[in-house]
Amino acid sequence: MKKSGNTPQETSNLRILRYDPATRQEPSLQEYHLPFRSGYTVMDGLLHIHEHIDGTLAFRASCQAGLCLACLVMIDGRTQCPCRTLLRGQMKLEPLKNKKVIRDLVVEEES
Amino acid sequence: MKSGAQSLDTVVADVLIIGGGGAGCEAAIFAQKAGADSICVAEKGIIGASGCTVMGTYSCCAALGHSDPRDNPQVHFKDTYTGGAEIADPELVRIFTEEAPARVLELAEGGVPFEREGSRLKQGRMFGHTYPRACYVGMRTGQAMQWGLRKMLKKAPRVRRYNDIQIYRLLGADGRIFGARGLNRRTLTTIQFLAKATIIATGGCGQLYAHTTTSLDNTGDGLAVALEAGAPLMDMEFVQFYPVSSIYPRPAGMNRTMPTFLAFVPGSRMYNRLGQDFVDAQYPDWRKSLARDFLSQLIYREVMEGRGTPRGGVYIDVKAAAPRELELALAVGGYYKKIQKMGIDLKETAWEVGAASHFLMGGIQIGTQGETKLAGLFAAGEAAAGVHGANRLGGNALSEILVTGARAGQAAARFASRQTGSLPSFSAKTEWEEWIEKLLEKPRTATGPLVLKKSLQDCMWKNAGVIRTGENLKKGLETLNGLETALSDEVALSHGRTPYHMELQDAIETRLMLGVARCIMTAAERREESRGAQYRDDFPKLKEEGRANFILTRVKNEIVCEKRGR
Repeated sequence: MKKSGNTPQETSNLRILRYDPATRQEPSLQEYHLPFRSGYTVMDGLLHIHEHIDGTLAFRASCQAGLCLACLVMIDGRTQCPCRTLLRGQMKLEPLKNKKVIRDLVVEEES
Repeated sequence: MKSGAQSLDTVVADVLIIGGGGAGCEAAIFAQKAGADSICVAEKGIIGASGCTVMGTYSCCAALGHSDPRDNPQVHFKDTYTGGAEIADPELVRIFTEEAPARVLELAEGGVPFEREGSRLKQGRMFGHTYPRACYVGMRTGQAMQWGLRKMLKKAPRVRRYNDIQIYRLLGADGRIFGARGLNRRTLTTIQFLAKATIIATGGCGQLYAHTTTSLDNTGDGLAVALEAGAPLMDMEFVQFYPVSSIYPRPAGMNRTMPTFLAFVPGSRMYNRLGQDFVDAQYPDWRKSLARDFLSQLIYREVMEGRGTPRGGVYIDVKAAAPRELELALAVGGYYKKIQKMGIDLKETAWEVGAASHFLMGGIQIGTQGETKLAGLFAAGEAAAGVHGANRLGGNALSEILVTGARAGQAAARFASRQTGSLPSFSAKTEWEEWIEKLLEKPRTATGPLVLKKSLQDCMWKNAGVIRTGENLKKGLETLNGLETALSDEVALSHGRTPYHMELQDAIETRLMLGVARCIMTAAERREESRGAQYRDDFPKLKEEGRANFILTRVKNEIVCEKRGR
């Protein structure tokens, strides 16, 4: 991937667990480099990936204010909303545990 | 095509509700109470989570008279009608103000933890309301209401809940509506709901604008499908803008409206990129008296005239504020602690803020029972027009969704019970399914749908935003034509059939948004005056003949806009 010209403080790496149950492939981590960090949330990072890097990544996004909890995933092993979590230098994102994965970070939610 | 070229996933119900936010949940609960045997709620995201209801911060207004015994529905009526610049539907306002107290009390009894004083609900004061009538659950009123409604819905035995369903078309025959068709986002297959009555409760369309306080789901899908099916929309020019919405840094885990509280801290400054205190210069006393709409206009003008920040806003700066004052002003919602937790030092950082689309007063034209001009089709909540007129008072949204949701739910159930004949069958593929298949079958590198969605949002922001002119609106309508052509001829997806295909979702939403955008621009251009939330720079005054509503109907491929006096 292309390195951005920004200082290390101004970039972030997200490693995201990709999985499509429709294929027979095992889940695997994919790394995305973001050209920003401070003042932005993990949700901003996901939306940036969707818009500029990789349209195939699947994730839920709704209120972006930490209120709907639709976007909940595991961030570095803890259940968190990407829209409530500020970007750090390195982060790992996985789908919620004990839920059926639709694809990537999206799990089945029965409301 | 014969016998449905593809096997079509079909669900049959008495009542279909499109949208699982506050209005949709309330409608489902009341449809069941009114005796409907089977009710389906189809939601694009997650029922009881997605949508804008959860984002309602503080107030749910109802004239309970708990905090001030002088309050009553007649005063609430007067406030609401006046706040709506005298073009709301008086009958709808009367019903709203009379029934809001009962609906709010039901929720309180049903477990929504509105703050109390003994047996009475606490009620706070809101701008434009004569008496304190805002019921609240801290700064999370909408979320508490939505979670309460979700709980009630889960206990409703005759309600089936469908998440991840993107509705794109209503099913109609002979001027009647029999349900809807959409995309199951999990499987990318077509799903249709055959129903005797259908309620649209999909909320507004804040996402039509580049800057918005609304949730990402808020793309006006229900308005678009109703328009497409022939139902008239009304008052679409009236989009409410919120003046102080966060642009940067992101208020992690806080509502985008949070920096409003910074603006009112003593010693705070609001200035443009050039360091000019543009609000103070014109209105030194603005913190005490300036209305939301007017502040939105001032900020929007700074940005549009090139004095905005690189991210398209202005600065709020509280570096000179006393720490104690700051802590006090930001105590609400736990904002002070949250900002600290974000590692932001307000002594060092100026917050970039700007105006943002917030609420749609217009929507589908309804009667007193939520019925539309199409038999079998109802609408409720922000998707319906008429209660708020040209502008909405703070606190009237969360109670209005309850009243119009309940009414539409009951009426749809009654309508369904009167239908004895069998439902027609809809098996043929439409142009929609063909378009989706074409997109999925031929992925390639080309203009992605998100590019067009962003162009649409940008076009609306610049040409149908806080300050409008006839010239810009005309230009905007032309841009929409170009986007429509691009969507049908140029757009492609980067990948084929996969579950939860976000690019396909963008494509469908963009197509629906285009129809709604056209209505907003058309009505805004026709209304040659400034009233309520619509400000026309070329017609800055209110006119007597403007006491009217513009009704928008799709006739063939044109939007016809008719004026109807109030």
